[in-house]
Amino acid sequence: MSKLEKLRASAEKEWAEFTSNEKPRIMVGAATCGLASGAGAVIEEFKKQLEKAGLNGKVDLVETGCIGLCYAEPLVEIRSANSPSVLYSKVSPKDVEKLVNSHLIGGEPVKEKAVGVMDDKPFKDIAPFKEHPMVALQKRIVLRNCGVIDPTSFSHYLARGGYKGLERSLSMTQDEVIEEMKLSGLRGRGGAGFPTGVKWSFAKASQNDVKYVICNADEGDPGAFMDRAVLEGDPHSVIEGLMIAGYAIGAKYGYIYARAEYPLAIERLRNAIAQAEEAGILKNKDGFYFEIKIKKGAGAFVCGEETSLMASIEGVRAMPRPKPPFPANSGLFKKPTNINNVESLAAASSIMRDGGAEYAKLGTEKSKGTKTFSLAGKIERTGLIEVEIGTPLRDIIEKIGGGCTDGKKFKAVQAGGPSGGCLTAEHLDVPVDYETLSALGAIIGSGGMVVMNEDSCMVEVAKFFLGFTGNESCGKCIPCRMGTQHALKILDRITSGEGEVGDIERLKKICMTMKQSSLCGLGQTAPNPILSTLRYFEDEYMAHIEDKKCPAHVCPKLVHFKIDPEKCVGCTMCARSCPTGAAHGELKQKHSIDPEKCISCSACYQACKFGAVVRD
Amino acid sequence: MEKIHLTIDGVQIEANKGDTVLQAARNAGIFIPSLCAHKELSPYGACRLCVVEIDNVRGTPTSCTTPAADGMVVRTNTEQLNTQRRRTLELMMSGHTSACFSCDSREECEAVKPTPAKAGISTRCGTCSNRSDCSLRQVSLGNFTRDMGLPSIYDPAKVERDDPFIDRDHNLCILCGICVRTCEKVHDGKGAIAIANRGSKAKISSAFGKEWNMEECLFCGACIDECPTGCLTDRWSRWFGKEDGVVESVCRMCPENCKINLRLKNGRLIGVEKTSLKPEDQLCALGRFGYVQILNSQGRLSRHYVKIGGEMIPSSFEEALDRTAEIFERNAGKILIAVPETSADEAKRSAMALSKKFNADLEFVKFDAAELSEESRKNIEGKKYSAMFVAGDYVGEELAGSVESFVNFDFLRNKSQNSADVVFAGAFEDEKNIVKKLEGQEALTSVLKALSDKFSIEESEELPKTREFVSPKTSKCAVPHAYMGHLVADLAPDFAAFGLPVSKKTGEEKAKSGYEILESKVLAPNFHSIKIKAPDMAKYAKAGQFAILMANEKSERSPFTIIDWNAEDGWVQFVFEEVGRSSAELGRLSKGDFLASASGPLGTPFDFSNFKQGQKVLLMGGCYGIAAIYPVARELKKMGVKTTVAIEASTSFMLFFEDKLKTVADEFIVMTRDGTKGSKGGCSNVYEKRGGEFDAAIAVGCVFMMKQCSLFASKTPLSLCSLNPIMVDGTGMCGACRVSLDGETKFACVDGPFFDLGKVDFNELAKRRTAYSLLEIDAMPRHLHSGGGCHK
Repeated sequence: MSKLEKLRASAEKEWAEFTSNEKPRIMVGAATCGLASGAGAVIEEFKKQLEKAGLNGKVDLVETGCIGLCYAEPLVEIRSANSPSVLYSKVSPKDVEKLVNSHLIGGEPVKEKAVGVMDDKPFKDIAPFKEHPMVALQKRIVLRNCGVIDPTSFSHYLARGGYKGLERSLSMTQDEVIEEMKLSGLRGRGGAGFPTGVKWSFAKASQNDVKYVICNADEGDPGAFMDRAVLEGDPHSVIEGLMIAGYAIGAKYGYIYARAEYPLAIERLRNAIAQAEEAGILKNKDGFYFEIKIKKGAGAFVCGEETSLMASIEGVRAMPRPKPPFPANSGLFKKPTNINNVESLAAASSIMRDGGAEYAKLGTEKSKGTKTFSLAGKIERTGLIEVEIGTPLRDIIEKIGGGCTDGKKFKAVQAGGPSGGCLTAEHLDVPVDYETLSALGAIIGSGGMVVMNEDSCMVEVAKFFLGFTGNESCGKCIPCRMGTQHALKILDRITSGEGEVGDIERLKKICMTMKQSSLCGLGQTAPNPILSTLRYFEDEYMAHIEDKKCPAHVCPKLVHFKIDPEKCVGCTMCARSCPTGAAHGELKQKHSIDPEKCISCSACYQACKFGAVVRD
Repeated sequence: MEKIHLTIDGVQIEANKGDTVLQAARNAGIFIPSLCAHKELSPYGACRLCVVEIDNVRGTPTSCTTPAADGMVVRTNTEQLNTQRRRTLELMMSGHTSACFSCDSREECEAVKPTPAKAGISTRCGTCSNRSDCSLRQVSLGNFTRDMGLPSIYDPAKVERDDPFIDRDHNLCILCGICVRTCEKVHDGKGAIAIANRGSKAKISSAFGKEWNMEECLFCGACIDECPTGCLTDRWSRWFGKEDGVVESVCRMCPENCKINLRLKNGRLIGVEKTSLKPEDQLCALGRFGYVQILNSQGRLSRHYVKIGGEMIPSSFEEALDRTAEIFERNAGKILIAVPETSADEAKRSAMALSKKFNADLEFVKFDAAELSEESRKNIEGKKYSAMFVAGDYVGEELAGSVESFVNFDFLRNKSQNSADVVFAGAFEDEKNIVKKLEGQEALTSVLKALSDKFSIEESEELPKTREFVSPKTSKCAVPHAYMGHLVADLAPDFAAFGLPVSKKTGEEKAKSGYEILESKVLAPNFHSIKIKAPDMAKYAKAGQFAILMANEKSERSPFTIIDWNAEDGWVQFVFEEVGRSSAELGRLSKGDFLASASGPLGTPFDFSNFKQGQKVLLMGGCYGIAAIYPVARELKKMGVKTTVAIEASTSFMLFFEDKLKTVADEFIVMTRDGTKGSKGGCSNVYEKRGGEFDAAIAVGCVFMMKQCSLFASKTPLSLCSLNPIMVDGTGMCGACRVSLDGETKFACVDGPFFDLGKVDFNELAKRRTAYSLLEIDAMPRHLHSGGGCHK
């Protein structure tokens, strides 16, 4: 690996330059989240303003990955010689001129846009970024490089200890690598939580000339984007992890199965693979030979299930196959196959660099290390975080996430996506680890956390997730295909005010059948959102069924709007927002709502500034 | 083979290493229910019925996918497993047309109706052509309760009939994947069908959901043979039910000469099947679907003929043979022998020997030719021959007549026979040898062999080499156009969809004038409502009467109850169920079309003089009776009678007319046989429980429904039913509609249709209604496709 040594030396030099303040630098978060919030226009504006200021070529304009503060996108970090580097949030093109003139040229940070200063001590009343509530409690191992390095730069990755884990692994025997992984206690981050080292040992033990390792990057849970952030922000960490896995089990071929809806992640991966090939890491004919192919998934949720995923790579219809045979014995193209999730592999590269024991210091007794979570839903600070396993839920929701939006009351969090379950306010102090969540009817899963506040109807939430799994069921086995349809029909009935006594029992019966009898994990876990909402919010179901009321005022057929004449000032806002003309009235006259025309869309309720629109 | 030992349900059994738990159990005679497992296909694990408990194995694995291991301890029959199976089955049935499974009266009903009704669409076992051979039924009826608590999911759009030969009704599909796996297996991994879409939309489909005829499907029919439900069916043969015998044979439609299995019922050929699931044993569309249709064609010859004194006289084989021998001897040197090249080797050897002996020209006619070779035709026209022996329909009447003596062999009538001296029927009246009876070609061997034996000719010659040809198994375009000179698509019209030529157009003819259809609606699967313009009928119609309708000039005359009418506007409404050819023809008419004939009103109107204001009457309707009780209920209600209207249907999606009936009912009761809407059961349950409350009861529905109601006829002072026997003229002339009431014979058409419910002999009525069941199958409309062109 002398070539790599040389490369690393120059990479370190490049990184030192990159992190020094000598050359002014503007870094814009340009992962999918940033781009979706308008980072593209911000970059264009920076180009324009730099030219205007005559700074063309004198300032580096760099696109980085996601640092995790999605709520604050577009994020821009400005580094100049005359002040410490400062991170700005919610930057719009109209802010750019000021940022350039004030900070870049004048050395005066724009305080109202600043999130934090990239320094240990405050600077001009701007607190250090690492003390930011969303950041302070995090422990970033998988996300170590995300938002920090330029994801298209091989040197950046290399300079930050990249491929040292691979180098160290190659200096060990396959069994030693597996032992090291077992020591780390890493459990599969795709959802099931199976110990990674043990999994590798199965595939290693399976004898065959050809073996495969697969990286499952078919992230499909609604509201989950951990894998995307890693692939977009630090693609080499996944490639390194996949190579380590390949070495450990004795595979020369790796696949990364990434969903086609992640074009940027695929582009970054392609780029990284080309760089690794160029550097002689991949397709190395003199040492450990390994090659990687990217397979784009066509967007079927069931492809997250390993046997379906392999069927999809083989080019046949993605349907789960019965196990046994397990992939470790007969997987892709009937060869021994090991399949790991993106996050597990990114963690593996770090573990093999720093040692399993180091990783095992983090976490709880049975759940070691860190876990990434995507915070979504009605939470103040949405984004991507990584915390030590065992962190109390309250820290995640309230400290890191900043609690519910608009100061509303926290009601529940759906943990683990459509296969998971909900945790409620009474669980805020439980440690988030595999065992605890599972005992409460939720799962860590791949790490999606969708927060719900008092305005969320839990029956509607269950219906949403079931609608999702129902649509994504491959249709192969009866319990999943038919069970989702019937459960959805019943939920539909309940939310439409046509629920019948006995529906809850019917639901439970169907859910149990699906759980016990479905062929794959999709069907077995699909009823979880129903079961867990029933477990904690049965009274809400009952209100729908017996009183024909939706306590959260969400289900359109169960919520009625009227105007309180005492409060109405005749501002016409309700009438103007009403799509059907149900809300009506003359200016400065009391308004009213025609129940015949009202579709319960709640637009008037949102529009009224005087609280005159009342829900019933 | 290495043996392993395991314990299943406490019994120590021996199994082969490599067997699945299911195989091991079955080999040991232990029953585990299963639907998607197929002994020749790889494990699939979709139906989830074969779940078992295994010591030290988590959960309830499916036995079809779990390899048996030495020392394994398996339980197949625990309460937990049975609950799981029952619930899975309940889910499965909710997506299948399964009302009969959960009906409490299934056994009695099926005793009255031993064969399923030939309905347009299968909505339950009672209208499913697969009833006699259904794996779903076997598994369900043997093992599970009738207590199904889920609503049925049914989508009329899932019935697909746009392809030749194959009807598909995805409402019956359980997605066991057997068809897909079969297709893959028999086509060496390159299947034409797969499961498309996800979740509730998942279904068996060709690529991009196109018609199968437009895609790779070769119509080998293997999928149909393996389908465990009535989802995939052979349109031509489906209603014959399960065969009572299978005979191995060889297909002679092309030189491929595939092995085939002939499916027979009561000595009649009802279908052709592949002999195994091996790729090399697959059939082409002609072998699978055409053969049976061709051999069942109208115009089959069943006797030999010899011309005597200018007349064709039915003769014995010997007489025909003697005359033929005489012709050969007399015309030696001036004879043409023409037999199909696909004939049996023995037949060809005999033909060659005969040609040598009599110095005759011999043509082995190309397998897909509709006429003789140009050379032969020129020779005939050039008067080279004075006699011809032709096996098949290769020469017309004129050419046949141009020679002095003409001998024809064919299994069908053909025009050349008009000029023949001898006609051999390719169908021997040989009851013992059914195959010989069915196959013209085998019979040809007998004729030629008998002839050469007569002249004691030695047969030792080498056979000519078969011409090169493309096997129709590999391409739809290679399906031969003709068989023994007859155009295939003339005899099996669906082949027109492959672009095969036809000499005459087939298909239904719609009447061009008559009674205009003002409105045509589908009320529920198989149930149609039509309104026709018939001012005279509307003027004289009274509640309880019926009319005899004919869709076209060739239709059967069938009676239908008049449901509603309007004398002012001059229209009459009928509601009917599609249960055979005539009703199917009616159902296919739409607004603006014409009925060829509508005679009515017929029958004795309902006698309202027995009813008084304030009386309470129970009106019960099932099937078409749901509509038929409407006019009676309406009149009673007008009179001030308190009407309780109870209707029954097999399942929720078969109900109709509810809103209309509510307007004429003081009390309205819905019963479904599977309990998916209203109460579970039928009208007779209402009658039984509450009959005492009423002054009269009226039942209109199928024979079984009325029979069930008749058990409680004594509960009301007056009880009536409306009978529906087979009718022809509807005016008391033919006597076809004879029914027995307490031993007294009545004619339903003029004495009825309303009779005393308690007196009718329903068993006799049910039996009389099945009098033409086999002919009804023959009459079923089958050719639905009219497209053309060879697709890939």
